Amino acid sequence: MSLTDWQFGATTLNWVGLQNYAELWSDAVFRKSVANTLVYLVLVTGGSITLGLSLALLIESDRSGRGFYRTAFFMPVASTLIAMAVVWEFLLHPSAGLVNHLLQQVGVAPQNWLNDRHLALYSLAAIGIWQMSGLALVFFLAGLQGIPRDVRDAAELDGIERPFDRFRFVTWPLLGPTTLFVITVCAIRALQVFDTVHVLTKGGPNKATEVLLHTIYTEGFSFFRMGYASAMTVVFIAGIFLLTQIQHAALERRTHYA
Amino acid sequence: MSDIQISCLTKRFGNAAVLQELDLTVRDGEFLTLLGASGCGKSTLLKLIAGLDTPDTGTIRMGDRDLLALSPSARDCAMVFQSYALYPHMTVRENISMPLVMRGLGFWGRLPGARLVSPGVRRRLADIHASAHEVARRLAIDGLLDRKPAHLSGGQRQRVALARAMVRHPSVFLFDEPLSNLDANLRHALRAEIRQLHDQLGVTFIYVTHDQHEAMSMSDRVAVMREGRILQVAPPEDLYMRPQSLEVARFVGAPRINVVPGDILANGEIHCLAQRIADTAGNGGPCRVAFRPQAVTLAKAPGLTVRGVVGHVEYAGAELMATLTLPSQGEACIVCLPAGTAAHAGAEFEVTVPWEALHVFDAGGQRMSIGRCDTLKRVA
Repeated sequence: MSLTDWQFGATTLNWVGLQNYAELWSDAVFRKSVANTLVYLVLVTGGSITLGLSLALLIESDRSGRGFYRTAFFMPVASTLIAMAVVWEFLLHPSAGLVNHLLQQVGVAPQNWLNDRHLALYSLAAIGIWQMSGLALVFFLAGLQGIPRDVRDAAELDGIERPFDRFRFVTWPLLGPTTLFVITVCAIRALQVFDTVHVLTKGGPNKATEVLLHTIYTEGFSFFRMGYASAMTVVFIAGIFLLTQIQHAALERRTHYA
Repeated sequence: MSDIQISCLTKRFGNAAVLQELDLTVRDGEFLTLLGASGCGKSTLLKLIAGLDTPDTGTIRMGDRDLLALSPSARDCAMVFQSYALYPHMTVRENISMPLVMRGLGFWGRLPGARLVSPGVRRRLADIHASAHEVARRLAIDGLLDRKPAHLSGGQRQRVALARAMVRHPSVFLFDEPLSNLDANLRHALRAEIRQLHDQLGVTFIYVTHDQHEAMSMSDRVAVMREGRILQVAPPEDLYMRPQSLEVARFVGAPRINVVPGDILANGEIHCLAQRIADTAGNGGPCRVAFRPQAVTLAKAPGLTVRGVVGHVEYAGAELMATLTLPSQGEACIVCLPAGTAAHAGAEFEVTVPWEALHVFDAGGQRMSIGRCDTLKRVA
């Protein structure tokens, strides 16, 4: 379908070869969309991993209440993102939102989080991090538990006693396979971001939050250019496929480790 | 380097006391084995000595140093684990070097690029790698230095762990069931090697195991533990020949020691299986008489006659293990007979236990000092 000019509802269908892809290449919106998606992907993946790992280390260091924290941070992963997006819309509301209200309390000027061209993508990324770090946390907790007690003990006898050394020489390297896995999972889910964009910004303002899946949706179901949307989808799927391959490689390595 | 004195050591996990007011002195340079079934607290004791856990009460001293006040790495103890506990992401060389890197290089020297920047770090690292190589050569693993643990066999991994322990020349080696994950042949070979290593290094070895063969064949002294207490500390031979309690007697030796009930008469005579076997100064009451399956003889020697019906007979190469059911008590004894002995299931059979092979324990299970019956005539 990506090689035709089919439009939704149209009765004719013409073979156009790679023309859709050529058009993609020079399409400013598509380029912007790819760039936004990549920025979002890097921010959300990096942020979720940092936040998830820090929280996991904190929770692990004090075992009381681990079950509570795990549930609390995992909730965003399990809940419906559309519903959560609405909640976030209220929290980030320029005049009535809680976030601005709190910022004012500490003397920071209120911001128009979702409608400012320079801020909107970062606001969405923050929501993405809020949602994904719970998942990262759970994986990291499991990973931390997988580090054998004996290796920690041996490290302590070898003189690896300070928390920083322990993290550097033992915890972080032994979490390596887990980290690779979390990165790919986060990246794939970040690539698929759609709900928050659709509910909160619809790709605006001025295409500042246009991401791949949303662009595909708009092309396909608002402008009914199915052939063109299909071409985008193929590119999108290729991206996902690439990430999945990386994930597979990561899992392979994990089995080699033990 | 000096003796390790452990006194009044108690450790609880929740309500369960794992160690109960335990006292033990480990002599300088000896090979001491902690022997016991799993859950008896032997590994916990080792971890307390290493500093990986803290006791609730009690002290551990080494000469005039209070070990409990020192951090694990400052205690001068190296440990070898059952699971090897190697760093999976490091090569063998890096694994062995780790203790020296942590001691010899400062914070900046350990940073990844430090070697490229500072000639001092480069020099020290070269020294460290030379020491690692030297130790590896000694354990015949110098060909594996660039491999990662995942590509080594179990025996090789344990050698690497041993090298990592040796490289910093500790004054005490702690072993936590180091051979339990290995197959039988390798276990045998490494057993001899570890003992040899002890003799060469001349430092204190504390070795934890549940395998009595390991304990008996390697150690200078064995401490038998049960339920958080030490039952007896003695050289292997003493442990086998003169167990201080019925518990120790039952734990050491395979097959298990045979126990038959006995009686102490008011006049101090000890009777067993309707025979007078010994005299004691103690009062009357029940007692237990024990003998090892290997101690019986078919010859008409002076001793306790054990007569019974042969049950199951197990062929074990050079010998037979026969179950003997005694008619009077219904007790089953296991006796070890030379191969070729005509002992058939269902037949009556008679063996003799020489006087000196009998152990008598009082009602509380403690060994009794008895007058030998060698000079007495049997009262039939």
